[in-house]
Amino acid sequence: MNLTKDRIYDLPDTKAKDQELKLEKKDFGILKPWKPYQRFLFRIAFVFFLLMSIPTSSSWYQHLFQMDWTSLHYRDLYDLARFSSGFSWVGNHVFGSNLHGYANWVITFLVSVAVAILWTVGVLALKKERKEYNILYYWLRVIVRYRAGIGIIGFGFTKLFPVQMPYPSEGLLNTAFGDFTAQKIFWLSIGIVPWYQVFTGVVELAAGTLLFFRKTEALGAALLISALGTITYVNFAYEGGVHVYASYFTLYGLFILGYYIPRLYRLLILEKVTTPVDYFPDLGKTWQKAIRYGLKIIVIGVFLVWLFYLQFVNFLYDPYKQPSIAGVKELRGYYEVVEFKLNGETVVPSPDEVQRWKEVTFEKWSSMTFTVNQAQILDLSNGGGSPMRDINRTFEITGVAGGRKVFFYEADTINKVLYLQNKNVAGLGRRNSEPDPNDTRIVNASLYPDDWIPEYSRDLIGDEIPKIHPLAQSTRRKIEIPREKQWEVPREKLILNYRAENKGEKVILQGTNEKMEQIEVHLKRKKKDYLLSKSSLDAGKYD
Amino acid sequence: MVFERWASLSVKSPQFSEVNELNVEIIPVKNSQRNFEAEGIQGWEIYSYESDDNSPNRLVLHTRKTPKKIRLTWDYEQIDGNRLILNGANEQGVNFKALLVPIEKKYLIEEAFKSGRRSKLSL
Repeated sequence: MNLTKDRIYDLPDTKAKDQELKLEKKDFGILKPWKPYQRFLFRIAFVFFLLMSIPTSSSWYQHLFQMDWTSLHYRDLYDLARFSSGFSWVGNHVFGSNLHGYANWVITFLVSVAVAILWTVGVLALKKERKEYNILYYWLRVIVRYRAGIGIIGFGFTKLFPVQMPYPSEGLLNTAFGDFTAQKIFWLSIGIVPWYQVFTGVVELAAGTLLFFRKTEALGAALLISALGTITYVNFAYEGGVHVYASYFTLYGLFILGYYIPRLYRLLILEKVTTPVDYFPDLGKTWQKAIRYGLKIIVIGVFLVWLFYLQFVNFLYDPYKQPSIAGVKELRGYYEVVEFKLNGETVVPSPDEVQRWKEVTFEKWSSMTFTVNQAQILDLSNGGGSPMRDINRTFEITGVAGGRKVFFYEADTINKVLYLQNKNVAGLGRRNSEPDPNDTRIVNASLYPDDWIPEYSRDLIGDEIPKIHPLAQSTRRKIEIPREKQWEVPREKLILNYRAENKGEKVILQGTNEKMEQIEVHLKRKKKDYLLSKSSLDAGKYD
Repeated sequence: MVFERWASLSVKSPQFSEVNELNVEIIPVKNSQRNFEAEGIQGWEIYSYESDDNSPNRLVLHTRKTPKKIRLTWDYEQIDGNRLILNGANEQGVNFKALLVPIEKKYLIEEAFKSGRRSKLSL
């Protein structure tokens, strides 16, 4: 491969060029052969960043070849951009500890050192030691910056179209500050100001885009380090749980910026004349150009243009962290419980009382919430992931205490019946945990028969898949919804007839609760003037 | 109702709908001007209080949230260890008598840090 130095040495005459070149050789050192330790360190870095940039789970490859490019969901591309990597075949623990999730990095690093030793011994034995790795270093930076760029763009779009940190639901707005986890408080504090979330998305997208081009990679890396360095710390401080992946980008940014540090140091700290010398392969042949521009266009086309469109559709019709199907219109709002009857007997409010519902909310989507004066098993996760079914979208319940219960409902609006199921399934068999058979939720779930929704209502409720806008009905939705139904866990249920008077100013709910007891609840809508002002950016469509 | 570690107490009620939206950073010297706890909230009134030198079980309160500062006096009586009976008049001059029972409130933010986000926590 030829090296082109012309773009750097654009001085007018050859003499000056030669002088400059001599100066470089003497002072800057890049043209000099690398020292043995530099070559050894490079070999470690090469193996390490290569291992960290290659997807290691078979499901990533499966997904790559199975996804339907004619009907994509934003998550299809997001999943391509986000994957687990590193040397993961010997487990993820070092001396019995996962090192806060960093054990994989340590293992990968140790493997890289071992390979670098073999590599060094090998080239010495074969007497094929190179003087430098300038070109390989260039290609390694290409891999690193594209990996980092694509990865961060996947995240950036969920903020540019603010869905990663949703605006609080009615239930969340009425939960006390002390009943949230730190993670929830931070995520909500971004969620209440969608335009700020857009800004953070712009920062991430700018970093990713700048990394796609050699001339701007240093700026992209600097931006990536500052943004993701902060996010790493946020995840530690607020227990966000994404610190490893955030620091992954920081590390990648540091590696790229590391290339520029010597010249910046020389220019800015030593204040010496600095002429940067860069090596890159001459890709001048037509076929080389075709591959180079072809790949670039594909990456930019898929991850900047197509993903932009898909995320926009997601924001409009199917914001992935909140349910996307509209709730019953006349019921929406925040309600006071005026009267609560259990098995025909009125339950009066008192500080020790545990049955009576308080603070009922009906969301604009198909959720009903209320609080009871009773401890609940909590879901402390972030409420993320990529569930397609509304029932599995749990942002409104995760990290929330205060006795709040959240129910997904299906409404038979002709017979005015709600069929409700508890959205909180923490510890009920998801995430590889064994469910506790004494869990009251499992005991309660068994009280209702399998065909608890009668045929006539089932028909009126209809299929879940086509209930959102056709543009958002991706192949992923069509495949995943039946699959999620197969993975269902036992859920508490309620069946409630509803009667809404005066457009829902007064609502009477009557039916059976989680324990199959008869209840009657009289609700009065309370006009809430929240101190938060609603943003002009509002995800989802619930008309 | 909340008693802070410092000499403030708060009462939750929908009647306190007024909001003190002082959106500037000030560095007050006097305790009575340190009003962070009362700013930008609704549904609560925040009072600073002091004891009355002349009567041992009397609190003298000053509202902190509403622009119009009101002075109130409430008498308290401690019964069987930790329950309190409050006696006094509210801002509208209406007399009240209240029985206060302490709640051992566990905050999720603290419990979750203690047990970790992967724990099975019931609260």
